[in-house]
Amino acid sequence: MASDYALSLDGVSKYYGDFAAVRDLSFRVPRGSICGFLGPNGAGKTSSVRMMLGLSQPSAGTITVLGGDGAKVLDRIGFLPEERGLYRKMSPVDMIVFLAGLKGMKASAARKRAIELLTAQGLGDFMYKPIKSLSKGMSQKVQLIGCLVHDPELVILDEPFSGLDPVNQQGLEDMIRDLAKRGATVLFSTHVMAHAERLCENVVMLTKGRKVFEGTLRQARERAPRYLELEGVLNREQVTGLPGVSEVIDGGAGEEGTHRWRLRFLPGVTPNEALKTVLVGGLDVRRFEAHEPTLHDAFIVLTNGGEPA
Amino acid sequence: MKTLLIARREYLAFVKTVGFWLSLLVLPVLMAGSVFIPILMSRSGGEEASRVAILDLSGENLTPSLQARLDRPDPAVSALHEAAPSVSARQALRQMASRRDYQVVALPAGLTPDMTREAAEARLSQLMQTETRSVDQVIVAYVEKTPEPHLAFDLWSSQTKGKSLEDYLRGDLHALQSAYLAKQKGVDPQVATALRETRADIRSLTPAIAAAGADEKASFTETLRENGPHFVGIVLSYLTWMSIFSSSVILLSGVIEEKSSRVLEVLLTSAPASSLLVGKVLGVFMVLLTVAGLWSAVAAGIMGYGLAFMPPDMMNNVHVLAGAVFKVETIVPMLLFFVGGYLMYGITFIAIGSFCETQKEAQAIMGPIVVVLMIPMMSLQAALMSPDLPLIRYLSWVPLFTPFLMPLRVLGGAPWWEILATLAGMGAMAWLMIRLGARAFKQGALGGGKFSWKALMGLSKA
Repeated sequence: MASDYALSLDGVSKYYGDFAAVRDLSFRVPRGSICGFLGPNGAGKTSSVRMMLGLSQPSAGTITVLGGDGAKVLDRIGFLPEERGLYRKMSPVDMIVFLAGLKGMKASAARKRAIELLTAQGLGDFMYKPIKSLSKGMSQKVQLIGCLVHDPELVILDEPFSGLDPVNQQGLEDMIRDLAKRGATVLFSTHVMAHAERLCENVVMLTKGRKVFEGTLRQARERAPRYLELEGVLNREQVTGLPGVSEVIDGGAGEEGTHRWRLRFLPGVTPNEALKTVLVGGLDVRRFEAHEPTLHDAFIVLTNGGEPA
Repeated sequence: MKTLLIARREYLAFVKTVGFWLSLLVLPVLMAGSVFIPILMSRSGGEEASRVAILDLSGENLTPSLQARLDRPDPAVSALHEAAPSVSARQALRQMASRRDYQVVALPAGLTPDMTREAAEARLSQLMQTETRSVDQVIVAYVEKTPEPHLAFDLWSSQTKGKSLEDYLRGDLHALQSAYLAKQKGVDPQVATALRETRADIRSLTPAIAAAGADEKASFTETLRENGPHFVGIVLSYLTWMSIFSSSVILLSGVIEEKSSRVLEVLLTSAPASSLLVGKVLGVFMVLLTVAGLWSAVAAGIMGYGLAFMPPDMMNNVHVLAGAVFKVETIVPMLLFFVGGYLMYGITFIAIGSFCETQKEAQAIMGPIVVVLMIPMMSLQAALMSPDLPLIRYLSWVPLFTPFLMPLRVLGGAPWWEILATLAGMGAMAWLMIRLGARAFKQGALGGGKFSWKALMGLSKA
């Protein structure tokens, strides 16, 4: 019976000499989901991806990809590397047909599909020109098509948005959603949280080679503190005593003799109770605004500015 | 399947470029040109014959001899014409033989055999600066009185035209001087000619050549049969060295380009390192076969054309040489030595390339390997001077040198057990280098680390 997970890592570590690039990493990616693999630069994302693809062996732990060893199921995986690699003198069509051939696709079918995808991506006029004459964004699209042309079951994208303009970033987001709709599993690494926030159901966060979070977006956000902005005739003692408040930041004087306060709450605590206390207590509040934490906030907290929490 | 796909891409990456075909065609075109252009020039008539006048101031009546020499067809072409095996070849050679480089013309006005040398020189200086003259060159023959009377010849032309006329007549002019001196010394002219032309018989003998007896042609054939394969072996050894070295450098450059452009990493996520390695080696091998096939076809065409002009004796010698070289027991081992050498060095160079992102990085690593490669090359130079050097035999047992030195030894008649033993040694070494090379290639292609000999030693222990 096939596993419910397209990707499963158990206690994986990778050492280069004395340096631990990845330490005791375990997580699972359900089939058909989009998972963000997040972490600051040097967190161990690329080392982990290489192990998933069988390009390097873990020093410890086991990795299961599509029910087997990554190196043995390469034909069912699509991989977009962080640094793009294409033959500069080849045309996009020939390059894609070649890459598809390496994945076991017949040349005639690959050529037909390559032309379809290139045309759909607005590269119809460039498909027979040498890749060296294409812009960076165009080359990136060619690389992406090369990674998807054989309809892989698992797509691993290493920093797929780098180098793309906002329009192409949006196009790539749409492509990733389409892949998931067709049943493919997508794992993509990034350190730009906005993309992950828009695309992912689950995220895994790494820092200094260690996993610091695995779960849904909601769970991730809950790990970050919420904020409440208050403006009124209020002093520090009144706002500090509100329930769940962990920190009070002075926002300065407001209009008509009021004062602004920014309240930070303990992780997992919502501002509801504090607001209720304010209203029931009859405090003079002219304006309030609750801020939901973003994935970016969660990332900063969870990665502790690049250090494991 | 993936291996073949990679090999196909490597092959097409070379043969689809204009530069490849240009460089490929240069050698055959030069070869063909050196054979056909002179023939075509002779058939088309070529340039006009140079007009030569003879001014004999010597009083020795040299004009008839000189005129006869200038009017005579080229003796080498005439000899070929007489011996040519086919009608078409004879026709072509007759055409060549009928062509004259020089045409004897009457002396221009103002030049007479009874004038002084000084007057002749003054007139010739003036004449050779005139645009509308009836002569291109003038041969002035005279007797130089000091220190001992001897013939002298001044060859006048409007400007320096190389030494063609001097080269053409040198032997005849020396012969005239020889006859003149004999006459002065009272020696019989026939004796003088004999003295001038006499040569000692010098022969290098082996039992087979000695058995051919006094028959010069048979003796030459035996010499060719005995020594020809050795020289062909040296040529083939050089060709093997150059082919293996140049194709290894091609592989190295290709991998460096792929490594620096990150293509290598992409390929490794689609195909095993061993497929990539073998595919690349196979692709460049196919390029080599294309080059060898094309050049062989051109060479065969030129040879076929050339054989039509060859006298039967010479053709027989070519057959003797070909028969001594192209035998199953020589061709098969030589092919195996080539393939083994190509695999050993090709894979080593690929492995080195996988650690480098620039040619400069590769050059630093390549130094010791090039030094190793130069050893058989220098040995071949020594073999050219002294074919039976024991050094060649000893070095041919070193697996790294075997592919370059054994072609020479195979054609030199090395015993079969030595051929098999060196093949086995080279095979074992090739197997080890392929294993190490594959590991190094994967490590180099994926790692950002630099190449080190220590790391290479570590691979052998892994």
